Amino acid sequence: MSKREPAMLSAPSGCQVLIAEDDPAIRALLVTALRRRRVRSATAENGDEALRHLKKQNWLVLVLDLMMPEVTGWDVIAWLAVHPESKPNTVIVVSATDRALLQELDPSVVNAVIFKPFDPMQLSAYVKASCELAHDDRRRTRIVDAINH
Amino acid sequence: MSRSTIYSLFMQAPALICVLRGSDHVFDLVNPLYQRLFPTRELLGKPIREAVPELKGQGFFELLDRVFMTGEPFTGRGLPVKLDHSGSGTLTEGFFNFVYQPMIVDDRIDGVTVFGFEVTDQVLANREKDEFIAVVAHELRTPMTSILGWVRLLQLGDLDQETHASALEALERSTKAQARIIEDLLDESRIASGKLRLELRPLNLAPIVQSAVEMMRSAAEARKTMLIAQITDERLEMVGDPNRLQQVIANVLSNAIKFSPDESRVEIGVSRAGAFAEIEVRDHGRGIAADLLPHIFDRFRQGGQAERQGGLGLGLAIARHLIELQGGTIAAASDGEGNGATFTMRLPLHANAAASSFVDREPRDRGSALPSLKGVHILIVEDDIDNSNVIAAVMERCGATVECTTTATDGLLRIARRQPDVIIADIVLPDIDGCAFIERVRTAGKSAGGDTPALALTVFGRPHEQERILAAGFNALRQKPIEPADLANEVVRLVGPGVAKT
Repeated sequence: MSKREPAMLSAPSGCQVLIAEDDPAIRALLVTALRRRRVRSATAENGDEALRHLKKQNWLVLVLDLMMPEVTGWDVIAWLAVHPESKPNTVIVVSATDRALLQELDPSVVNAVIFKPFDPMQLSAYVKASCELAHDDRRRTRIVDAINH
Repeated sequence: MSRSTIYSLFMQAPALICVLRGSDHVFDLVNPLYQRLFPTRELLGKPIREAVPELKGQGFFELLDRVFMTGEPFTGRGLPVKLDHSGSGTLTEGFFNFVYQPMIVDDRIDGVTVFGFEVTDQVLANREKDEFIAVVAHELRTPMTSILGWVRLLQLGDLDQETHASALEALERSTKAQARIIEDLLDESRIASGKLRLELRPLNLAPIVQSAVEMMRSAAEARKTMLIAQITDERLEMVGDPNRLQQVIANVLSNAIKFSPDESRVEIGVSRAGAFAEIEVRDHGRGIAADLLPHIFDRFRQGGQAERQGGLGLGLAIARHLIELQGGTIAAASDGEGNGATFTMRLPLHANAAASSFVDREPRDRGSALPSLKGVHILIVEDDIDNSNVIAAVMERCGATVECTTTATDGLLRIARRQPDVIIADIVLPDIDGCAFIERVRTAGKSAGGDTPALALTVFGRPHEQERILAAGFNALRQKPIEPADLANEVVRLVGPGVAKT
């Protein structure tokens, strides 16, 4: 599987979903589940790579694992809290930590927390719906802007 | 009871006791255990606010005031208390169970008796246990997410061929990762209870290192890391447990790969150093901080949250234990963070291990070709249908004919009807225990299949379990989860070369 990964690392054009997950099997799982729903995604293997992607372009949805080496998911959330202009429309945290042990995540950044193990088809449906919602929002903003001008 | 009896009871009690008198809580009596909390301080005759000023702001003065005013006792369980034991100004947190009991003299509250136990060790052990369970849950959920997720996608039934293949690969890898976690947990528990046993025999180290390297090859490739083995001495004879040695070497290699950046290099060198064989594993990863270095062989140590790389944090503790049980040592060195790390294992060579008695260990080849079991009839007694199906599929793939049943009683009936060439039986069965089952098989005469070779499948890894299973009449046993090729080869061994028609 590793041999195919580099192709996924650079964001395909028009791709607006970013997956930050260090486990290669889960990463591939999410990509496959999204592809089945015709949603293209880019991937990051760690928080550092996720930050680089977030700085480079705007994303509709970020699927974020918490326990990643070096720069963790918590670090990414903290960075997004002070860089709201880079915040994707929807931030979905996926976590293998116990529900009861997970401390509250910054609600100004995180929209949803999904606990592992999860159903990839449900998660991909949620991601797709979030994308469509965000598209509608952007269209509405554009219309409002046009009226105001 | 006389006053002096009560006094000596107080002084000898295995608990912390002191008597505080008056509204200022002046120390009137302090037993040795209580005094030991403050070895350098004079407490007697002083009010507690003056004698133990560090308690200010921790709520205990207020509690004492309330008990003194109201006459209501107070019981605290596992409460944290910060104390300056040495008087140097540094506070140490401890945990205590205690009672503040008001003393009533002539209907008047005269003071407060403090009676307590320090429970710091228990609280910390409990906390460590809770954290460990959280880590285990986290570590099991990660492969579980991949297993359930990929199964869900496979069920959709429309994955392209390439994705289908990588799904199966992910399933195999994740299942093995879970099996490894469970093995590590069992090893840890065996070590803790002193029940870990080695199967020592004469061996040659070189092929064992070679097979450990092969085992880790795909993990290294996944990280685009080069795995370079340099074995300068091909004949390193010693006495050891080949499986356990391979486990340790693979574990150290796996750590080196895990903590290396992508496209890095991990080197393993094997050489003779006097009376020892020396295995050196060097990586060019982030290295180990100097303050962490002395602790890396402790259980559950892996650096802070940011350094956590998955895993239970048990691997190196188990590795050290296994190496020491075989008379060796393992040490780690690092020039600090960012400069890589080197692990050195030394194992005593055994000059007397005669060359002729050597059996070079074959590398465990995964997915190797299955042997032929053509014409062999096998009875599988296993109540777990999934497991039974897997075994049956493997045996049929080898050309054997297979009969499956889920109970021992039915198994006995089937043997009476048609004698199998081999019996494969689970130990935990719904009606009678697998051992009782094989005992009944063995009481039958030779003509009734009483000497049919039998293989036990077990989840019990404990040595006395193995003895019990073999004593009951099984000829061999295999631990679940089974490796198909290994199981098939064992069946070939049991039926002997004559039976299988190639």
